[in-house]
Amino acid sequence: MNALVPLPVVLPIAFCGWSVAVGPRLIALQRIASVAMLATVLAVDVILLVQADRNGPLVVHLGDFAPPLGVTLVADRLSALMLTVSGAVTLLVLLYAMGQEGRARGPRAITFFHPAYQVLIAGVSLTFLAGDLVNLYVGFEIMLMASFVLITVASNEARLRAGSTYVIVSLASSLVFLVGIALTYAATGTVNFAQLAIALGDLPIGIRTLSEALLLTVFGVKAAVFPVAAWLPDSYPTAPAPVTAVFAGLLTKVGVYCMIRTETLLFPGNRLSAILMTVACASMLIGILGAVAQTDLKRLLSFTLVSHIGFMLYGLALGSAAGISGAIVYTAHHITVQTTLFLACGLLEQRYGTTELTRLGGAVRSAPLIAVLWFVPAMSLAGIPPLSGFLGKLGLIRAGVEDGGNWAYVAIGFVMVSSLLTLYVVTKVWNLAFWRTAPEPDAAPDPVRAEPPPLGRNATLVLAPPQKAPERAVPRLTTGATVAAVLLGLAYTFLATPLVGVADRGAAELLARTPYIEAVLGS
Amino acid sequence: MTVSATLLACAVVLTFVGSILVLTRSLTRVLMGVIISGNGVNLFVLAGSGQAGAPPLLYPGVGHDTVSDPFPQAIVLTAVVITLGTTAFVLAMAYRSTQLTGSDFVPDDISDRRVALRAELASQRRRLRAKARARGTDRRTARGAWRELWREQRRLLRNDRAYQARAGDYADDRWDDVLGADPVPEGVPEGPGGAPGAPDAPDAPSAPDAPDAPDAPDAPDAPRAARPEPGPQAERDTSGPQGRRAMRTAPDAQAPRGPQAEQDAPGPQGPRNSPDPQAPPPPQDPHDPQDPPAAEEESR
Repeated sequence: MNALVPLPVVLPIAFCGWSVAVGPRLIALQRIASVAMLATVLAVDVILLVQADRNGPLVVHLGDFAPPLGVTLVADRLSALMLTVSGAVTLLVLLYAMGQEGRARGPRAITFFHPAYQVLIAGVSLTFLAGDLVNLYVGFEIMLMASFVLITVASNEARLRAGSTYVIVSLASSLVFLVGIALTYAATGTVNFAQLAIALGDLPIGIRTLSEALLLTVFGVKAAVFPVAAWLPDSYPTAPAPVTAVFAGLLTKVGVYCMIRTETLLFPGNRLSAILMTVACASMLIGILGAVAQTDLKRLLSFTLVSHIGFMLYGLALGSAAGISGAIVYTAHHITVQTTLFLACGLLEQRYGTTELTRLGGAVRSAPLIAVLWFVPAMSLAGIPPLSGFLGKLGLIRAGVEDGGNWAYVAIGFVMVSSLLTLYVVTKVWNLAFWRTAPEPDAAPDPVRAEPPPLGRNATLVLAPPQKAPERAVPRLTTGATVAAVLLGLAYTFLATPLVGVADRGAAELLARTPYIEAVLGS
Repeated sequence: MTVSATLLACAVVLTFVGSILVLTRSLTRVLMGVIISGNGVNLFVLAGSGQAGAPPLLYPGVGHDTVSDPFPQAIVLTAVVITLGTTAFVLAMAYRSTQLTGSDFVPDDISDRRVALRAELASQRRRLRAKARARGTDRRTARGAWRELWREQRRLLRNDRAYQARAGDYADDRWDDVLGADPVPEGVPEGPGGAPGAPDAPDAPSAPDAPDAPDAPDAPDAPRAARPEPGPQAERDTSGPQGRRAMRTAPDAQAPRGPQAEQDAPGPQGPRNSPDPQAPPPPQDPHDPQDPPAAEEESR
């Protein structure tokens, strides 16, 4: 069964190699193979989750080299759960993208989307499975290279600008990551997580904290927590809808996953709890206030993403089993819901040609299905019972109350306020884009072609041009993938018991640390 | 473990130099910065292998405990390979940026700019008004001075709006263009200069104008509603440090997208891949009708 562990990394990369070798030929076969590959990966993820939950961490030493030398892949409950959720979400997003892609053939078909997407998934899987710091780094880099390609797909001026920000920030954080690895290795002589978990305990407190701070900074940049989140709302919204969806759902959560892993396994004791808590509260509030101010739906969603990363960080900062369990559940929920929201936003964009809230309207009548597809995940994001967001927030708040400290209660206040503001934001979007009467088409029906509103005293006109963009049909596969994503989000409500059970056991396993260390090093 | 101070000093200097370069706007400089600071960090990793002077390879006579630590070297190799890939990518990005805009500068974010501009405009207006008041002796000359100052201010604003509008045009989802299957529509009007009236999209310039509203009673504002005579093309060329994009319409500018070039040629005006390829060409200069009132106000 352990032989399955490398598959989520190996299969997508194998597909990528094949696809690049085949080139523009056999497009239809490539598409089918792409879906089949991701479906296989998802199946493997599910098996890994079941096995890890039943028998403890699954470990593979590649080439059978013992830990300090060889590459170790580990699938414990946390990794396997993250893998499963991301596998399901990436499969849906792939279907969505294929719906948009249509049936392009010949020289017009872009051949690099599927390989790049698969490499992205390989990188994400490697990050989840990595058993040492260097492989974590390599996983990050694989993921980043693929994301560079995807975020600048069909580069125009705006995408190039957004891509530049993203690339430069990612490169800078990679360098910091390398420094962190070098420091940790120089101090301990190993990069294997299990050995580090033992060796780091003997280090002087200063070096330990420096190493911890360096790693947390890197993961904080990837996860887009407040002081280092400015790159996210700048770079994500311009990418094509499926790309934004998978980035928003997965890439930030990879950072959160790494934070959970390092904070529990490598640096137990939660000594930076106060800093983490402050950062979490700042992210929650500032992110959502940013969302309140936006009029573009994609940017707005990007800001809510920053805000909700704070929720997960809050669970981690509590440091208790309940807190970490809450953070895991919330991460799983948020991967699904944020992706679904971006997919629904993409549907709106395809149908009406814009995501600018001032130009949308009346979608509940003209496109009731899209309205429902947006409404359900939006309510889940805001935390309305009985949707999965409610379960996640309930877990987090209960963990805070159990903790009982003053800081925990202050942070609960932040969670409540941010949740309310999230509700306000999604209601605002609902009212503007869906519920209100559609803006009357003017004499100039296409707003792009309309005369520019004048400066000066008539400037108020500019704020809400009452034109409505022309409607276009949305491919069926695209809508179908979004429906499936919404259903997946709803399924979390019905699967709450097993989900929370896995998260609880996973959190206990993380805090105990011995199962992981023994599984890797042998007892 | 003793570490060579030279190695550390080199690492620090290189990282600092690189970091400064990364903070610049030009992508090529950023690339240089990434390479240099990457090398600095690699030296830092190498310093982790301990004292210099140990034999690098295992050959007869070298004990397993005296050979230098290969692990940092392996990490450095990995990092070097990754940096190589990244370098290629950033170079491609810089080249693409030069194709599209004529320079490899990374411009400001549009939404950030809108917010900044809103505050800037309000304070600028206050400042100008005070200045005009101080300059003019009677009400009439004060007004003239104010008008002159405000004209200058609006010229800046126009440039910015043009820039924003252009960015807004590009913000549309071009997924269909890239991966879609629709045939290239025949007979799509080829606009002069690729995108006639490109800066005219209505949504982009919205926010910065907001502060104008409260000041509406200022009569001289209205005439400037009209864009300058040379039309949008001229604006584009003068629009700020970020707006250099003369090459966008060069024949090879669209090359990487191949067959999409023709499709994109009508610019944001032409409906991309929309079911209606016969859309009428956009009005070449929508500003003419606004000029008479401008002159009228000017004489007031």
